[in-house]
Amino acid sequence: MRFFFRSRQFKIIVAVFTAVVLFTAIFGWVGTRMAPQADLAGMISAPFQALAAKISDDVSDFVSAYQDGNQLLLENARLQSELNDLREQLADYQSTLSENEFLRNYLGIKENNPSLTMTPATRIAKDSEDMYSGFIINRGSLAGITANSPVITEAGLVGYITEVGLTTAKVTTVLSPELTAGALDNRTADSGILSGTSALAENGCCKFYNLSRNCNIAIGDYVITSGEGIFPGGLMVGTIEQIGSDDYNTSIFATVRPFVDFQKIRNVMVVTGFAGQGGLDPNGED
Amino acid sequence: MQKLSRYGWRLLWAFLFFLLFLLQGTGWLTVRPLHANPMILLPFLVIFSMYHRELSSALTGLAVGIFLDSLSVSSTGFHSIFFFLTGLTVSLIAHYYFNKNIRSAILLSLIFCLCYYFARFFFFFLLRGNFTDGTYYLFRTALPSFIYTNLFSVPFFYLHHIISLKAR
Repeated sequence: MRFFFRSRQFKIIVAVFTAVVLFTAIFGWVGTRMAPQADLAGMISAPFQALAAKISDDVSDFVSAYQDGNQLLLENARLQSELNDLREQLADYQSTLSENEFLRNYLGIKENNPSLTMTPATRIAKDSEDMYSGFIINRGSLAGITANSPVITEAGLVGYITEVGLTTAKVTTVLSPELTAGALDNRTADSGILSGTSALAENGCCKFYNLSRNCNIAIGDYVITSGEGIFPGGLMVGTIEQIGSDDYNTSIFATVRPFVDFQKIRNVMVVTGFAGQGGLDPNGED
Repeated sequence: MQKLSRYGWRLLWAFLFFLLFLLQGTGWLTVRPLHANPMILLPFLVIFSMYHRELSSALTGLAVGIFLDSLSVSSTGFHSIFFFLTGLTVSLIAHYYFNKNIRSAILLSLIFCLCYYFARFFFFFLLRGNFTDGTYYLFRTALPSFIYTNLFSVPFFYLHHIISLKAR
């Protein structure tokens, strides 16, 4: 092995290793920009990832359809007579409906939040190592996406952009403890902080905490963003499933089940602008 | 069958690595028992590095790591460095100290998977002071993932064996 450490090969290896560590350290500090080597790899793999994601989604749909087959057959028989009456009308709309479903949802969000400027994106890969369902989208800084941009679907808040490359970006979800956002109970206007924990993320839930002991929140209430931090106000987050009192102080916390199903996300909207933009860093580093 | 050139074999290896990388990114492997997330590229790299020289193993590890970093939401640079060092170390150990057989492949795969999950625990939880989530990660995700990942080392060893036989 002594010979190896004296060889030219070893010098090349040390040089490459030093370069990688330097790049990583520099871009790790900058924080919001993808390291150039990872950005390049993302650009190369993005089209293949998109294709693989499409195949994966199609197979997943097929498996789900097969699993739900019996139930669907019964339901189909019941609806058949109704469908016959409606078929003529539906024929004109069917193809347009499926093609424009995503855009209609987009318009729906726009109607509710007229100040939002959004860029559509598609999930191309999942970070299978991330316990908090983080994923990669097929839009980056070339599409005007910047770090800390909120990510939503028609169902509600998904998370925010943590790192941006030229053609891809990384999304951290509301299940992650890295994200903290101001939130409100939609019914009572009780305010608190929304964040994730590992234990809750396993069940697809997040934590709404720091609520006053006198708050009137109840199971089934909707939680929305308060407009503090990087998220615009009024975005739907989820429903309260459980309420408890904090072990370490006098406040109340609630377990929130997000409206978004993070395992089934395909298309998202990245909010690139909204009224009052430029809030605090979601990691609380500002 | 006509033999592939040296570059042909390199392309085949690159294709196999890329295929596994795509599989890692689709989330298909996250249909998982006990919340295990297998890192299938790690045993594949270990077995590849056992049979290749130090420089090519290290550079292959680096390339795999860079691609994984492009997929990773929270770990910039971690995979590049870890996979680079894994490729290099496995190649050196296998070259100087180990026989190149399935027992060595399993053992090396076990050791480096253990290092991988412990490094993740150390850098992403312990060093950030997030001990509660870290303990949870260690027992609920890392441990089943470690076992799940190692299940791939045997089929990958035989896949490598078949390809190597064809290459001769």
